[in-house]
Amino acid sequence: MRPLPLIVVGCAFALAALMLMSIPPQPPAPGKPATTPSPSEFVISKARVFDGETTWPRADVRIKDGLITAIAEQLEWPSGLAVVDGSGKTLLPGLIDAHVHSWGEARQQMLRFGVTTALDMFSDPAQLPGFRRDRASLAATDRADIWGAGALITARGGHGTQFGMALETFDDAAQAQALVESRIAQGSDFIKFVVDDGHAYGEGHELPTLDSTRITALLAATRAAKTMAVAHVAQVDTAVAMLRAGADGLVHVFSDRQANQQEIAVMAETGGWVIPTLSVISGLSGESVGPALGDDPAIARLLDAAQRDSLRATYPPQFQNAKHLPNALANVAALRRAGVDILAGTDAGNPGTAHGASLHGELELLVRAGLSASDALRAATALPATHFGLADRGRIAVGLRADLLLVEGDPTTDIRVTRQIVTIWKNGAVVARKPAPSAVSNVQASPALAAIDSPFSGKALRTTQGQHWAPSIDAFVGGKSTAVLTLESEGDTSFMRATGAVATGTVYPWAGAALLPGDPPMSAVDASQLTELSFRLRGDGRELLLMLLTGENNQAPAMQRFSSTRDWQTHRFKLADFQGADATRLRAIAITASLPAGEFAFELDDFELQ
Amino acid sequence: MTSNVISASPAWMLSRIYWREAGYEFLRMLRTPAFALPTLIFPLVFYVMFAIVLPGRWGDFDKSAYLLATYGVFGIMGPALFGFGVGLALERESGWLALKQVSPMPTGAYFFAKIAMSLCFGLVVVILLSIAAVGFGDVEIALDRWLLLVAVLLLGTLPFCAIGLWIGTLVKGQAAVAIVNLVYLPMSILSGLWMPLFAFPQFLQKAAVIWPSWHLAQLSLGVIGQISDVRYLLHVSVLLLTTALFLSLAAMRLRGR
Repeated sequence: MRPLPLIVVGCAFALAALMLMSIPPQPPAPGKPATTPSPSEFVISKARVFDGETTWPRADVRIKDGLITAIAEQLEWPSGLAVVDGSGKTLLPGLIDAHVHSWGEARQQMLRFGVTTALDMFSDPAQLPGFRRDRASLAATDRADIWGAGALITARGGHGTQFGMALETFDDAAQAQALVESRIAQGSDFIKFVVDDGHAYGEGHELPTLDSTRITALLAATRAAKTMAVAHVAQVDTAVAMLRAGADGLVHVFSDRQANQQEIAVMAETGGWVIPTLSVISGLSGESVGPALGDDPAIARLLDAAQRDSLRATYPPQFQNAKHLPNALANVAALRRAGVDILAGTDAGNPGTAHGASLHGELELLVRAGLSASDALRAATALPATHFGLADRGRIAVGLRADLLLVEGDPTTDIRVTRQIVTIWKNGAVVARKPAPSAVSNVQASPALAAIDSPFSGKALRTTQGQHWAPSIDAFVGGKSTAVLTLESEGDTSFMRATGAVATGTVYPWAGAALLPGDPPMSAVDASQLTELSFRLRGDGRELLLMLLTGENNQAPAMQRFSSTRDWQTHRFKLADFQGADATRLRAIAITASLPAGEFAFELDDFELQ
Repeated sequence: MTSNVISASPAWMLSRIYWREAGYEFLRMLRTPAFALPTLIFPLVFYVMFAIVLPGRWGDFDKSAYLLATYGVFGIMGPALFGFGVGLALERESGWLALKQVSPMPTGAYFFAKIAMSLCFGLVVVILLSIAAVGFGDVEIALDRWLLLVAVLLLGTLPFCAIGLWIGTLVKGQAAVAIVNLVYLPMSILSGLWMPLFAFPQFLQKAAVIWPSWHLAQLSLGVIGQISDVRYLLHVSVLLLTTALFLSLAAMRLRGR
């Protein structure tokens, strides 16, 4: 057959041509999100080097394929090797935040601030296998590595159960071994347990906690499983007791009072260490360092919207007590003098903190407590690595992971210099430091809110402008409080009545009424043009909270307390007085009852925001 | 040739012959464990190993979805190459083909049966892989995208049927197994079906354009959304030309006899 050879030759030529055309100029490769291409082998030359323990006035460090391959005062290297000039700068090991709660974008947020590793003290245990997998890799990445406790161990209804996460509680000493084994099976790298009866936060905050039988059984179980046990405590007495009972360390410093010499000496003798978390304690003290940190230009330019909001957020006023920070600072100073190892941790994830950024604030607080700048740097590098057995990091030494931080200036004399970051390397690759565009752009301008008035003269629980009133209760954090709103009238005036009961069972129970100004409800509106909130209220004499929910959806509300009176009384509040509120993104205004538990009733009329 | 007699038969008779032949071909291959097991199970086992069990992250690629596309290609190549290549070679050796050719069955039915069998096996493989990917690999794929992927993969069996056919005309009997394996395995690996091409040296990445399986993988990766800027027309043209080329080569062999 004639045509066949012709077809064959034709096809072959056409194929060859098409194949040539389809050679990709740049064959597809996996994008490396938020990292820029960097050579796999390079030298950082002439920098001051803080290696996690001591400072080299000038040294060269060589990196290859994600690992540190050489360090010396003067290295020789073949020409052609990429060189980073470190003169005038200081090279540090990637920082370790020894107390975080990591979810969402936390790991990316940390890495942007030079925190290359963190110890997670309670978050979703489902993340643990991923943490393990990722931290074993030397590939370029846009996120920090995590060692984690997974789910913490606490008593039923105790601290840790208030976040609305399903959590198996520790109710019977006989459970100890099974509980420890199940945590280890979930992937926990160490066990965190809570001994906190709420006493340190003042009256009305009492919580169930573990008794000594369960603690003894738990520590026996962790010893048998050859795993670390770290304790959440808030008080001097429990701190001493836990370290003596065999806990490896404390994940907060005690701040109910200043410990005496003898107590400090007993703690020092146990060899235990302490992660003070002064960042979060400053917030509990009502003098959060978060807002100032967020205003520092070196920090501010790298914050995304969620981090900015989180730094400004505050604890509810009933949790604030000015004694905490001075006590904590004095206790840290005493512990350090007694030779107790101090590890830098922020408790980021809580109000007044932001992942990554807050570690720089924590270092400053540690120096304020009396640590030298070098001690503070050790607290965020070699010490946590040593105590938590992170063998491949925490120092600049041959064979360790090239998690590095180059800063402008000398942080061993001025700790604030850690914020002057020039370059971050994670696994030997340069980290791009711009906040994710998505994180920045979600700060869309919210629609402006016009003045609201709500005289309750109509038939529905609505403002004149049409916004709804709704019951506001603590169900979504696991509470059992109740609230009912009704429209009532007396003579020719009508008003809204809120009745219900505040039930214990969560740490911050509440119930009351909320006005949702946005459409759809809980969407943000811009109330920055409005200044004053006023209403008439009568009630049962209880103390009530006026809360503004602003900013990101999960941000803690800004609030003020006021007392209800048995007769109608007019209350006025300036929006500017709500510490931590972001009036440009108002989501809800709530009037609620909180602790002490029990029934409540109040009536509201002539609510105005103008 | 007796086909003149047959083509005079009513159309339904003819189509019945086609379908019967296809049905028995499928049944026969299903009852040949040496064929059915490797072609059905190997892609699935490899996929589960590399995409689900072994850890690793590939930047902004979704490993499970990426490998679903490439193991899908690997999966449909097997039945096409082996069904045609080895099947034809064995049947030529045993004289079965000659017997069929003198029987009053249209030659077309013989090839139709083999193509239909390849498509059925290919479909089963793709369904097995998809179950693993969606059930255990956390792959999320819309139904219409998945149907498109299946369509691309099934149409993609054509060039491999043609290559298999050509091999079947070149050698007889068990030799075809060796030849097909020599083509099948290196082509799969070098087109990045087992592990992605970016793990290979640059020149191998560029050289991958000579394999039809690479072109099919580009199509399926594009459909599943793992790579962008896919030049669909180009890859489809390559696959069609490959089909035409090997069909012509096979026809030359068969007629030259």
